[in-house]
Amino acid sequence: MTRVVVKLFTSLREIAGTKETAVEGESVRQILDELVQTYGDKFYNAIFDEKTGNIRRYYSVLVNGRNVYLLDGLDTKLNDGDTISIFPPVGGG
Amino acid sequence: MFTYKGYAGQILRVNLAKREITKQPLSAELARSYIGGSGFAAKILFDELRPRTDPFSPENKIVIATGPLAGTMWPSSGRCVFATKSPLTNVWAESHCGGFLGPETRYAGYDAIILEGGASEPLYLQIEDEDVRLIDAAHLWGKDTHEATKIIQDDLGDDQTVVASIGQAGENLVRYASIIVNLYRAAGRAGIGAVMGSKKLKAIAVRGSGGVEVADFEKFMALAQEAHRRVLENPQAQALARYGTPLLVGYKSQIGELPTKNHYTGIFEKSERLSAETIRENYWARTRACFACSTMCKKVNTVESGRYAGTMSEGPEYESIMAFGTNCFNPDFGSILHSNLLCDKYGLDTISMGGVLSFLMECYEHGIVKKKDVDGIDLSWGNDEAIVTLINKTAMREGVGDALAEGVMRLAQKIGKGSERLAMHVKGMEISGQDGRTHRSIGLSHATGARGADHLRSLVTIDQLGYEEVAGERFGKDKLPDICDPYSEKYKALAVKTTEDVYAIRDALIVCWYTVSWPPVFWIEDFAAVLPAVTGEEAFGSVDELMRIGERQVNLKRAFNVREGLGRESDRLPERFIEEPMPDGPGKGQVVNLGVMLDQYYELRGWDLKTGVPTKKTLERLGLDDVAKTLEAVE
Repeated sequence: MTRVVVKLFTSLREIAGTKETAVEGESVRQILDELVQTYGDKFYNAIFDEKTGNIRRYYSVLVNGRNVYLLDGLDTKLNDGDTISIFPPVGGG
Repeated sequence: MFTYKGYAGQILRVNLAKREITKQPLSAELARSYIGGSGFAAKILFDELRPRTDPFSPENKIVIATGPLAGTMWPSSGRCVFATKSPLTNVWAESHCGGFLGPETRYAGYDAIILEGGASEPLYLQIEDEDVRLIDAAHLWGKDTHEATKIIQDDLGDDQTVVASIGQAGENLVRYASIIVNLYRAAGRAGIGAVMGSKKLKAIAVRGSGGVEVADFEKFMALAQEAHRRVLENPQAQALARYGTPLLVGYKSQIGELPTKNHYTGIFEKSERLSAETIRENYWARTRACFACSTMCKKVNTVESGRYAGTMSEGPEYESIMAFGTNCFNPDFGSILHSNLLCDKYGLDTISMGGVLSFLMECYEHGIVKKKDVDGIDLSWGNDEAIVTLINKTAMREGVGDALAEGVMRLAQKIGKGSERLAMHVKGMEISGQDGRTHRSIGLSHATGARGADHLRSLVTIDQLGYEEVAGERFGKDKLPDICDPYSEKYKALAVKTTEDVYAIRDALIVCWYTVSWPPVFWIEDFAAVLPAVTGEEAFGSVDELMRIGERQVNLKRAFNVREGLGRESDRLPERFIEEPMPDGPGKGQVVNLGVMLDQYYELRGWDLKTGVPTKKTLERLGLDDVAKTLEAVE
């Protein structure tokens, strides 16, 4: 299995009670599923739009600092040692 | 009665040399063509300042302006702008601040204040509605902004008077001195506080008891209530309310754009110590808001242990964490809060001050500057005591502080020995906390900003954050995904140009950066909806017309700079961003290809590709025929 580091920020950090965790999964989608398994409904509701099943607007998911929007979205394949950073809405300026 | 609602209809002109105070009617044509705020300031200064005016001479002027939304219930409308010719860059300068000065000025009955001439003895200006006086300020000279504010409020017996004051830095003509409003709001950049100091004007104290009359009260209130609801429900605004702008530290650390070691890299290993989460947990004490704001991004923090125990202050914003923290390789939050407070008291711009210090630290690392050159101070990276000591010396122009007070560009010229290559500035203004190598559009913004390395007039945030939906709405879906790729030059000229024109309207109304630039709650359509309800001028209801007014303002400021001798060669970036690939992190290997973005930007703007000067055709299209004639004479 591919093992990656997940970094959580602001409200997600508060929900999960940790800022960093190691997770196994082949794609970003699998990693998010794993995180939901671990941290429960509150984590799911924070990240996903219940109606559409998509990630909420303005949430940013980065793989090694690149937004998954510019990669293959949630289907982005992962390599061992990758870093996934998940941000609730954050600021520019 | 003034032609339009939403205006006081009056400009206050204060000649400090003659101690003469006049009130003149606001011209309806000025309001129709420029709306207010930064637009008013640009028109007044273009018309009234002669080219090549010495910024510190009595011939220079300062315009303080508000706009038709200031003082209304529209969200985040507590803004005002200070504008002048900058002693830091020798070109156009504007600096905005929140708090309560804008609304108070409107309630006192003025859309703008023009300060001209220079006093021979220290004075302060007191405005209480129609009653305007120049008062002797000998007892305030030498005081910091916090002391001066308190003394003025005590003297007037009114702690609700809004006070905009300079500190010792402004008095001592530090070229990046700020103006501080009610202790913690700063018109920070471009040295306008030093121009106030050169005029021996210590402060402006304003109290107003009037109001703002809008054209269609019911419609306006419905729009304003809906606007507040949108802010309150916006998840980003909620995050900003909880954490403030330090939110950005975490994100920047992950994308590799957290300026570190004088913008050498975007990776700061100890960034967690300065993250929003760490600050909230360990230092946060209170949250504050400016006038009519539902966002409440201002945080009061306290330090309870260590060398800086006992420090309590509003701030620091992200930019100040960058300036005194990451960019100086300093992970000590207490020292950053302390430095931030010192700058507020002395009246110093934190970004420029931090830029000077990180530049010197890099010179020290390379052996270009030695301990003996800097009053025996150890300038090793991250030395927080050196940071604090040098802020003190700079504000007072004491010892080596005298050279630091000149800013990075002049300091590098003085030091020589190749240090110019390490001087991170554009047009003389120190670079803010972004890096074009990992965010191409800000490279173009930094290079083309009228006041220098500016992050507030055209910073496109949505490309960096990957908000493709918003980018599609604002710039066209056909530009996706490239327009959201921060490592690509493609479509960045379009994003910067469009954003800059919209922000010009934001700065004319005036409303805050937050809720417009980020979070992306309001855009030009919202301004087109609210402006006719406030002013009664239906033409302001057209998005095309507003964009034309925004474009007019950008061109007028450009013309101001062209008249001072600037052109394409001034729209540059430090060599580091162009020639030194980002050394590590996600953006490793990236550089800015500025030339291609500049060509596209000039083309979209209708500026000459070779000279960067607005063409006659462009100026005439924007109704700036007289400006075209002035520029012809310059050539």
